[in-house]
Amino acid sequence: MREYLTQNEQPRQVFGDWGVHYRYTYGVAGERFFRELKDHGHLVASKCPQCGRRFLPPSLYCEDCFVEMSEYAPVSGPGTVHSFTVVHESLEETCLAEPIVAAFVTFEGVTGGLLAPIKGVAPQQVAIGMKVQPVVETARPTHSICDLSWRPA
Amino acid sequence: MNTQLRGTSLREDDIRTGKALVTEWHPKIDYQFDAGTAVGQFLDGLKAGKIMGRQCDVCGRIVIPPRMFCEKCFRRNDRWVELKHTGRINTFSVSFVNWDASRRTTPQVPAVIDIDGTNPSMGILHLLGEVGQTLEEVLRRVRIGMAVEAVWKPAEQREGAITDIMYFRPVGG
Amino acid sequence: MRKVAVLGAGLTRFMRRSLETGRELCWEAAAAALQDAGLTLADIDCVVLGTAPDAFDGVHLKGEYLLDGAGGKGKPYVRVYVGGGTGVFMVPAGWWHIASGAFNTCLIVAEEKMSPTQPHPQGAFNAIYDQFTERPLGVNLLWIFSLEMHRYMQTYGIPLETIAKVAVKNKKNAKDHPASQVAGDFTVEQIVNSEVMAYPVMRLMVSPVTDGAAAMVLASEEFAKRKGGKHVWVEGVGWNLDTSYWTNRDLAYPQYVENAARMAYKMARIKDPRKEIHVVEPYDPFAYKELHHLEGLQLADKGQAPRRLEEGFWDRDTTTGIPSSPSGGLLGVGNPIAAAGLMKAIEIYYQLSGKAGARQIRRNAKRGLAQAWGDLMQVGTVMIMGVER
Repeated sequence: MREYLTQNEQPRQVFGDWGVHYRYTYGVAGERFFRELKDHGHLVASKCPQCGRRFLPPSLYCEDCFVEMSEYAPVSGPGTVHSFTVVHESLEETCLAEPIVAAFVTFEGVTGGLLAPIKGVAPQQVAIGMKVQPVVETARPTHSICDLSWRPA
Repeated sequence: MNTQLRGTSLREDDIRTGKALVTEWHPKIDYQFDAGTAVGQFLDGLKAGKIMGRQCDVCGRIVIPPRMFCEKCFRRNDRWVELKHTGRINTFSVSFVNWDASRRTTPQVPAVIDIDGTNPSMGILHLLGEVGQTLEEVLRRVRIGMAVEAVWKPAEQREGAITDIMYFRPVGG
Repeated sequence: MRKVAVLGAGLTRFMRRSLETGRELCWEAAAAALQDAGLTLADIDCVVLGTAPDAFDGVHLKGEYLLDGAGGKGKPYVRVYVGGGTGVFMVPAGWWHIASGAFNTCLIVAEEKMSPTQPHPQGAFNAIYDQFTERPLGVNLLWIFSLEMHRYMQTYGIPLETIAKVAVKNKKNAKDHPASQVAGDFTVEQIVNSEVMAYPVMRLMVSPVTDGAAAMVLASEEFAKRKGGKHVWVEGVGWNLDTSYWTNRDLAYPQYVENAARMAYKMARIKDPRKEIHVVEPYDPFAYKELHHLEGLQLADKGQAPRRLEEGFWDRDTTTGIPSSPSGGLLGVGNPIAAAGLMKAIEIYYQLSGKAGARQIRRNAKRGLAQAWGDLMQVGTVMIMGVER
């Protein structure tokens, strides 16, 4: 004999939530990156003493050589839009008043790149390969990645 | 063994004073759990003022919390069995700490209560009540092995939840 | 099945909160293990990572997040997880990669960064309880331990003062461990009179919230012999889980630890553990658990581990007993869940290879065992190492 629930009113439901929130430290490399962003308004990359590659965002270690990276240097622009997307809907599935153009930007001679919104240009004008400069929020900084955006170079 | 181990220790002060930068995330993650067949009907039973167990004909066990299959025999089990409202304290604790590690002034007294009618005797987690407001009072009043009885919410307040039983108290008051 | 050797190990400090991210902690431990083994990442065929719930670090798919710090980029990589049992389970997991013949070297890395969870990491554990029959009662992680501890104490008539002696022993042992977070000299009175958390659990009987990582390098017999030198071998592994209906179990005895231990003893061909195990690291997140587990491991009769403690049988400098938690354990060194268990396995490796420094036991140890426990009080994980005899 099988007991299955055959009416929608029958299933009993219980509600719950996650309860906790999180406070993350940035890490040795991340702390350096955000401090340079906050204090000097520029992006820094770390350099591997073994393979010579530079990494953005910077890391404590080279993931291939597995050695420590302790050399940081500013990344000079402009950056290139490697890819982008135009976001029209929020996480709660409501329509955004202004669409956000999220762009992944890379820099010459640097492995990796950063994701941030492009501002000051209509979405239709954005193209892969476009040159952009980083803009750092100084008036009301959050000391997080949200302080970073791009503008056309 | 290398005695120079890596690791940069931070104090709470380092974060508070901005010596170390941090970023926060407040996830909005909510759940709507479907109770399933066994627990759903168990909760229905609680609403009706009953404590229900399940029986397997192969091993003969009558189990609580109820499940639709016997995990020992690995087959569907066979029937609902109404259990008693009494039981014995298998173990208990006197807790002065909330889920978020904040302190309580009065204790919660959680217990595993072996419910009469289960076979072999087995329990559920619940709370003890009417046993005191301080550690000393509770330890004077409560013994492992003691008989306890369920204290229910009035019928019209029951929702079909484990809290339809408010707590268990020593038999005889 | 091929024989598996331990080539090296590494640890970070165990800290209440680290600047390092979880990835950075992994790298620090993994790089130290490789250096200890005299190898580079290129020598590693596969990586196994162990870490406890994503909810602690607040990172989804934590295994993948930690991958490049654990040396896993471009390699066969897998995450294993059995709650608190994970740290010791890393050794069986690494072992089967090599014993099966699939790989010659394996790097195992265990990490935990619990400090991000706010207001307290304990809160992330609420979801371990059944959402229908338990959570609405206003549950608390500590209840699991306090309820089990009380049953154990009551069943065998164990006084709180005796249990407190485990904390005294381990916090003292940990003074000699370079990674330690909460080492020190304490009296039984200080432990017993510390703040009551959930009676009978007192504050100083609980291991702390910790960030940290540990790593170990395993290799096949052939690879180890080419490196030369004397080696420590993985001789037995075991793991076992009990039902999630924890309120149906006998809380006074960890049957799942016995089952896991028997599996490991059988593989290691050990007939008389009390004679053949010379040093032991049982999982000690709470003071009573060490005793509970020593009984499950068959190293003491049921209810008798406390009496052995009073006799000094588990002391680090014993010559007639079995030193237990010579590292200082979780109570003394700290409890970054998965990394803590691996720290215990690493201690067995150090003791057997004579590398334990000031913690080196006086007994001449040829075989040792580490054990961990976790989930909803249901998993036992065991590993046995030995040197040539």
